[in-house]
Amino acid sequence: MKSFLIVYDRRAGELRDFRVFDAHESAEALQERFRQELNYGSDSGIEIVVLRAASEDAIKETHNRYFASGQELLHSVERAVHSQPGTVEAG
Amino acid sequence: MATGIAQRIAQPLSGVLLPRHLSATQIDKLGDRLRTTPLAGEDRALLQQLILDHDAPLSEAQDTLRTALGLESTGRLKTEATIVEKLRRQTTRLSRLQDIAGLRLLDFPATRLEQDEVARKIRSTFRIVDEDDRRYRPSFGYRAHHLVAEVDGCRVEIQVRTPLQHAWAEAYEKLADVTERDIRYGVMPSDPRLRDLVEMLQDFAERGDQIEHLRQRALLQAARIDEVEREKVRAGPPSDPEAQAAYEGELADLRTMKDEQSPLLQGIVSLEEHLIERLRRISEQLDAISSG
Repeated sequence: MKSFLIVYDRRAGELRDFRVFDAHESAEALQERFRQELNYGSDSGIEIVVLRAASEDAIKETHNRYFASGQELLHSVERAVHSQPGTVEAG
Repeated sequence: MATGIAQRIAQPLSGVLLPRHLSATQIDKLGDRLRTTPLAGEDRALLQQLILDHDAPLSEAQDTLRTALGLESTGRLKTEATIVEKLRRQTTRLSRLQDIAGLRLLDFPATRLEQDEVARKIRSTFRIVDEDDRRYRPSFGYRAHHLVAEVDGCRVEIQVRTPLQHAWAEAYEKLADVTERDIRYGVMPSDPRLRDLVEMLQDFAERGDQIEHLRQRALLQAARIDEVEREKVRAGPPSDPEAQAAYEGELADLRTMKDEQSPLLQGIVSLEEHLIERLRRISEQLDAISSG
């Protein structure tokens, strides 16, 4: 599993920093997260998180909020509505 | 895994060496302090140690999901800020927080029945100490099935969502980021346009949930009809002419029921089209707000 350090500006809804750590660097990723949390402080509206997954594609599926705009996420909702099984369209 | 083990005795940033495991009393006292005082110094070091203690159990749970159940997931340890936010918002003791370590399944079960099946498999693989099935007790529109596993003395929350539940949750949380984080807990923004947007999204969640239910029923009905028809065809017509007539009549009824499925599904598609129209209005409202 890789570790992905995300520094996300909540109020702007935008990514500020994104770093990838290999499987053997998971401890380093967490320590870097702690350093950034100390640096930004608790009330800055900056969210610092480390996600652990097999790939960047995986975290963009499970945590797309960090990467996509509000409109893009609404498009994802639309796709989810259409993707449900058992429709006449799906046959 | 060697790295994870080394991590468990790592020195926190403050430079103070702390025992690997904190007692529940120490943790709860820390939690009580964090409700009212800023996170700093030794308290920050203690909180980091608590978070680090969940790292190896989180990895273990993630590996188990993959190897035992073939389920991929994304894992995360809760941030310092969100732990403190939660302590200030709720009365839960810090030692009882369920989601310091969390896994979100990548393999979204397509239907609610599949979601039930995934939950059943997770229950049979892990020691589950709590469950929160928010499909039936939604939290301001949020729906999912959360199972809390105990792994090596720590709790790991496993989130199971359908694609629609997940997509909605991501969109709503994005809105919370840029408006008011507490819309996730029922606090409405003061700006009337944002309030409308929040209400529209929550209404969308209710309607989307109803459609998921209807689809589920339609799928179950169709599956049951198919099963009964197969059994009848496999059994073959009886030799007695009277019984044979009844047999043919039952097969005809089954075919009629199958034909009636089509209007039912058409009805669901029509509801979905209305739902998409609502989504477009939500998108327009978001555009209007973003452009000031």
